[in-house]
Amino acid sequence: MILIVSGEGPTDIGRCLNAEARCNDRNFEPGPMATLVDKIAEGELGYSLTDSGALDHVPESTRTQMAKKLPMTFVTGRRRDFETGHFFKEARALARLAMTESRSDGCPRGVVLFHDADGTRATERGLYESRLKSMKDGFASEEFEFGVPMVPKPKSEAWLICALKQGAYQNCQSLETALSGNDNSPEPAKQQLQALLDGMGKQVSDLANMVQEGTIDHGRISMPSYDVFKKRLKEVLQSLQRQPSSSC
Amino acid sequence: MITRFHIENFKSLADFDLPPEGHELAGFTCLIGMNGAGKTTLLQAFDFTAQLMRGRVEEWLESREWDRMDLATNLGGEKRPSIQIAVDLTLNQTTKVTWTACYHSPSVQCVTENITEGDEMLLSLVSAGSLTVAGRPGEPSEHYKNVPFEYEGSVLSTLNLENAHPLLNEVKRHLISLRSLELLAPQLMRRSSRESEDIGSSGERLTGFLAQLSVEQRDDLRKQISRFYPQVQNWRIRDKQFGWKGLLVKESTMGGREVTEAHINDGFLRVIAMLSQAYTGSKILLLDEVENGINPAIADELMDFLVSLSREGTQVIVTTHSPVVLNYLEDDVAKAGVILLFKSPDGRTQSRRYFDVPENERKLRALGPGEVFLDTSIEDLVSRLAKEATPSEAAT
Repeated sequence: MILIVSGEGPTDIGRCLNAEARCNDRNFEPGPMATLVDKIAEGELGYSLTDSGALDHVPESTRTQMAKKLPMTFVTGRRRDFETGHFFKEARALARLAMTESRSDGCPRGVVLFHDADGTRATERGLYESRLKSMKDGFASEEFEFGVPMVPKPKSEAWLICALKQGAYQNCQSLETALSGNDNSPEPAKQQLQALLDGMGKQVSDLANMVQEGTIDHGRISMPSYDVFKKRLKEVLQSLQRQPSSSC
Repeated sequence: MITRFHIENFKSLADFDLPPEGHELAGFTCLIGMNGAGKTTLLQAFDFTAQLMRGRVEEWLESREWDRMDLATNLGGEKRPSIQIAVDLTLNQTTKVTWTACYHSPSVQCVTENITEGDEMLLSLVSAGSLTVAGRPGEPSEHYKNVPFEYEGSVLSTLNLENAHPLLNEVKRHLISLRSLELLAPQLMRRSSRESEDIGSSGERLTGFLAQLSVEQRDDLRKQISRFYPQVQNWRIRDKQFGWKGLLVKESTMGGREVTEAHINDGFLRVIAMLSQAYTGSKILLLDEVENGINPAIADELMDFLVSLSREGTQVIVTTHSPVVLNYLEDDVAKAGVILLFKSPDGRTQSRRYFDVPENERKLRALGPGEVFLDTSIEDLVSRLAKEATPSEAAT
């Protein structure tokens, strides 16, 4: 199996080290969220997707270009909220990509689409639910069964703070509402994470390694948005395992 | 083309700039906004400008059943009698000229006017009545202690420009050629009319306009129409009594029979009215709610036509509520040309380039312009922009 991961940039899913529209293996530098995906997968599958070259990265620019080429969709209406159209179309575009490639080489593919749940002032109502739903709808509209929305609430730093703070498991749920995703607010998630890292003599650029080494223990994260993601990722990994995959 | 249009004290356009400061108006502009935001008022303001140059303000007011003071902004206080206008024009693609005027509603005329090219004053009318008109290059200016003739609207409407600086005539011709089709009405387009150089603001002289096109222009128009309506095999003008002209259309879906204008569908009439504007020599074309009566399936052809018209030298300004129409715009055209009109809490119309709003610009990477429009709550956006437009109120 191959897992296609796609997010917002180097500080979450990661980045390509080459100038290509896709990358994997040594050309892909996983960020903390891709490493988190790999750690969960390793627990589930017994091997690392990264080490086996099975983690494919689609950069944001490639993903948005693919989404843009899809025919016009009535992205909102009775069934969808405002401010969700691009998540819906991006999920569709990645689903199409995965299905086309799987049909072509016979190797089953899953997709993890990452977006923070935070938004601008204009769009902060019910963002988590509507983003999650729009991604699910996007995957479903292509009849794609292996799509995983990865939507930290309010943003990825909250999950990492949950793992790092003393008394993990406790009160992490409150991080979802207490932490402001808006980086301009007085105590943004980024600042709180930075404070924890400072205490450990670490930097933001160390986060992926910290997840990899276990300094950030993904097993310590327990908060609703993470649990939803983790449950779905495990489901998809199990389904992918059941697919015939002789050519992977 | 017009690169900036500023007007004060014209209905909800109390102090209005198109586009917002720091930008130049594009060749193709698409105005969007909620009902009542001022889109149609803006088209009326452009049309008013053309009437000033024609010197036919009274006739224009009568045709709309407006009184002289109906044009003034009414935001609760006493109405002011003067309307200020400033128009930046780029003529012949390089020459930048500015026309400013102060129109006095009770006297139906501009009491001050200036036309400048850079630092050079080409025309100056001051409120005491003194008029200076630049001569042809190398020739002296003409000075008048008082305007030596009666005029309505702009002094240019009546001024003999034979020996004046040629740019003055250019400015006049450019603004006079502005065509506003904000009132296109199919029921009026079905009327017979006599030969005419334009179709009229409601399209009431459409048949007369089509009648005076040359054979080549009619052939070209037939080709254009077949892009929109392949089932239309032919159309022709029929002569009626006393010089009146009617329209006959032959459609394959009607068994190849010709139908008279009374039975032609609304969409076809609107499309032929818009396509016919390519033959008017208009420098600026204004269309209100361009999608009206148009099947979404041909919206792409229509937008292609209008954008190509703008690239060939006719500035096009349309209003729309249709995401389908917007979605057929190329991103660069949409970024430069889609302008959101909205009202500040005190009722003043404001403008903002729609894709300058950061989240809209970001969404445009994955969505078409029309999809961004659909994906964005216009009520929320307008409410936020209105607050930004009045920071002191937002702070309180």
